[in-house]
Amino acid sequence: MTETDATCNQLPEPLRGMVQALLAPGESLRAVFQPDLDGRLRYSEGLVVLTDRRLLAREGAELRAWPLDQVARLPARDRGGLGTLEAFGPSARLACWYHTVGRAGAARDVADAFDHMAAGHAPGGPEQDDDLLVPEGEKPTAPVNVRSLFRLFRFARAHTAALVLGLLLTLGGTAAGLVPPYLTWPLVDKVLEPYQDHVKEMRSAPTLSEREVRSIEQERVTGFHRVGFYLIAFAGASLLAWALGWVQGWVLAWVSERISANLRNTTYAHLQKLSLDYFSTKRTGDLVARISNDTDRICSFLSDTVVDFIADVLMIVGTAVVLISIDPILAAATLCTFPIIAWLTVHLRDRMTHGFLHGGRAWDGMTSLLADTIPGIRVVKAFAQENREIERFRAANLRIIAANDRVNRVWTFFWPAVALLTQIGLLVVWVVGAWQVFSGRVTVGVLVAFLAYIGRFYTRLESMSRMVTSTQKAAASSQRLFEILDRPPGVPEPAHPIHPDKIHGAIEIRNASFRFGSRQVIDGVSLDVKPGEMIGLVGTTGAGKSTLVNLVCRFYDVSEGAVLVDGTDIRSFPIAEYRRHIGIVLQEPFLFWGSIAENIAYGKPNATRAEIVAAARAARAHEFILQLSDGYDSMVGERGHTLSGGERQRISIARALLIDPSILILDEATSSVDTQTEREIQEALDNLVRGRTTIAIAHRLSTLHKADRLVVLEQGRVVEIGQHADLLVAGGRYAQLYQAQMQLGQELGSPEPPRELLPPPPEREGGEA
Amino acid sequence: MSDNAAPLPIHLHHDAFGRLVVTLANGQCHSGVVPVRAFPFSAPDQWISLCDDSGHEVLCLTDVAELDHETRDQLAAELARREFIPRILRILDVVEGGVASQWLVKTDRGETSFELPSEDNIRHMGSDGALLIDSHGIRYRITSVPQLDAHSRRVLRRYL
Repeated sequence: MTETDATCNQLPEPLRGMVQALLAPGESLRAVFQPDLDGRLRYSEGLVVLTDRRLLAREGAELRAWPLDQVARLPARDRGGLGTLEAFGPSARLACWYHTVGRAGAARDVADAFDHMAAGHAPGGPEQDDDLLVPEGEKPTAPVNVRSLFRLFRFARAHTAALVLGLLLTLGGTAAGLVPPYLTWPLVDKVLEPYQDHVKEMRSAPTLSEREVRSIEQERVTGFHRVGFYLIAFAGASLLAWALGWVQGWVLAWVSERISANLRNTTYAHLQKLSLDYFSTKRTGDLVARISNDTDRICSFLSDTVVDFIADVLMIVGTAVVLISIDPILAAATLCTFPIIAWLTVHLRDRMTHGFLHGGRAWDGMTSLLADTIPGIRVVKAFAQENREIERFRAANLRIIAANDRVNRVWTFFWPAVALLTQIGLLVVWVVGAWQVFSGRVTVGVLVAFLAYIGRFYTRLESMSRMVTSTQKAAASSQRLFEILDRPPGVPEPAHPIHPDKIHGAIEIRNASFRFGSRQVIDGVSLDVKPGEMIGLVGTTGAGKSTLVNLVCRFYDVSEGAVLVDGTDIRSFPIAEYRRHIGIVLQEPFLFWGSIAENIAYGKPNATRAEIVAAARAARAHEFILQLSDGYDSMVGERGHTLSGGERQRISIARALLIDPSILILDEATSSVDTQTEREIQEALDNLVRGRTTIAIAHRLSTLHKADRLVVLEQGRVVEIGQHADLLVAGGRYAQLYQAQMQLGQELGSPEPPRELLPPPPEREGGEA
Repeated sequence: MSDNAAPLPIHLHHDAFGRLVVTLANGQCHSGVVPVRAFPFSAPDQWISLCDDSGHEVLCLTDVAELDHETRDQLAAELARREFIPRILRILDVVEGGVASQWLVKTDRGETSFELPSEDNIRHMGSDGALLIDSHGIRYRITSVPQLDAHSRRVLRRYL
């Protein structure tokens, strides 16, 4: 009962009610699965519930139930995105439910729970299976909104002081900017107008007394002084606004540069920590674009848009306050178009964000294409597909054009519309203002001041509306960045790390299982490897060999079971410290851009030249390196173009040797080279393997002739373990594989002599390092 | 091995055919050896390897300072004869043409001009040195960029 409650409580609300309604009293829930396709493969939500007594299914309004003793088998399968869960009776199929691959995990859980019960195990229930409840790939992507922009503040926190300073400067600049137009009012009404009236008076009166003439002279002089005062104040305020604006711009640009650098660093650091399967699902170009383009957009948004936006809002609010205080009716006329602009902005904003997000995706598509075809240029040329690639690029570009056209239509309409509205606003102010002046409610000075303000008001409003574009662009960008940042690292660091001093290299794989998406890649593998022992992993492609070594390297974490090294679960070691003890030689050796010495010392950057040379010697790389024009200082490219496959492989062996690992992984280290080169590499490998726990994967069984034990994997399970000769005698899977390879070798007339294989492998004392 | 007090008991001389002959401590002789710098840029005077015709290493000298004077001079002379890496003293002119550029330079071996195929063929070497590789694969060194004259530095700033 308690399990029922626990399982039930994990279910999201509407489902929980539905499931509980189906259960009879005392019936205990085992697993829940919601198929999302009907019998004709159309989307339709269903429900399959497995309890300790019955199998229940709801399809539409129909509810079906089978007592468990009628159900003989309940297998789940998936292939090509479509999965089935079938219920078989003793003589016929009872039912079949279809689902998309996203729900395969849940379907498998039902099948597993059934098998568990059928095997007579204690009721286990679907413990810790969170993905049963929220199927993978179904987590809804958050809608685009500006909220992700606020999350950028996390990166700004370090610069709060500078930001506040920038804001204060903005405030000061805005206030100073409001002064000049305000001064036009007294300038007109208190100085120019009265003086003009006096002059008129003087002209209309033919005779004037001496005193009157003098008073007008006096008035004229003081008027001049006042004009001087107002104009100097005018100029002073403008200068102050300019100076404050300058400093503010500089301060905020400085901050934004740092924030975006911080954002780039954080994103890249996070990216480095993500597990390998993230990279296998993402395209390189896409990730590159996110770290370069999107952070750049955010930087320009932070430095220009945010500041302008704050300044504009302050200016608009300030202007509105001043306008209302001068004359409410004119102010109302001025502000009358404001609601229309606001409405237009809000209305078009969402369409623009979606447009920009589309544009961003189309842009990713293009960069991904570049990141794909430039490294693969040899294949492109070899198959003479240049024109097709040009065509593909053109198509990707067309998608960018299409996406941008759509959004361009929106904003190109938007800006002129705002401009038109500002003109209308100006017209309204003139109409209302003229009427007000005629009816004597306001002075000309007030109208002049209004017109001076309104110019600013509308330019601000217009620039604010332009900001909508860059804001939405930045929102889309920051959302794409947070998509990376919000992803938890594939292999978490332990909460209470155990620091390994020295690793002896005893590996114990204890009933390990690993599921990749919905595919069970490793299924209950158990293996004990003694320190210094060499294990050869054998099996067909897709048998799970690489996955198993990835689990040992902790590129992935096991779904169930554990991997122990020297008796400690590897999940309790800090990842970097653990990996320092592991050397890996891969099928495709990757050389970074840099000198050969740097590449050899990649795992130990402070290695001395003596260590580098010693490692290269042991890897049989020293002499060919000396033949290169610049020796160890020769530069090798991304893929080490100037070196042959065997040479690159020997450099990568030297790299693994230099860190002196206690555990060594050879993942098809010799598959990509010819037999002759393999011989040379083999010598290097023999040096490498000596005294280390080694797990080697090889298709070519001859490369494993030194292995102490061979482990044959098939569909994620260990089917055979033993020495070469014993396995041959046993005549099992290994013998078949071996025969097949021998036959192939003879048919092709391969020069590869079988002598390495025929005698039993040389005796090695496995326990000794 | 790195005992400075006693020079390494090896000896170098040229035989009648002009080939370099090395006599090792155990009295073994190898003729036709070629000295190769393992780290020509990062440690030119350490890790000098003597290889025979087929490229096999006969002896590796960790530090030339361990040799006696005569042998060291022999080695230096042999290396100087084999290495052609002109040192650029001044950049007289650079004519840009699309991607490639024509360089007219004054080197320690006289004035010369060469074509630099692309910007990738010029790179930093050490803390303030630079290395240029022309379209024929000939390498030119600049020991210290800051010590060049103002004009040369201005030209280099565009590339480095």
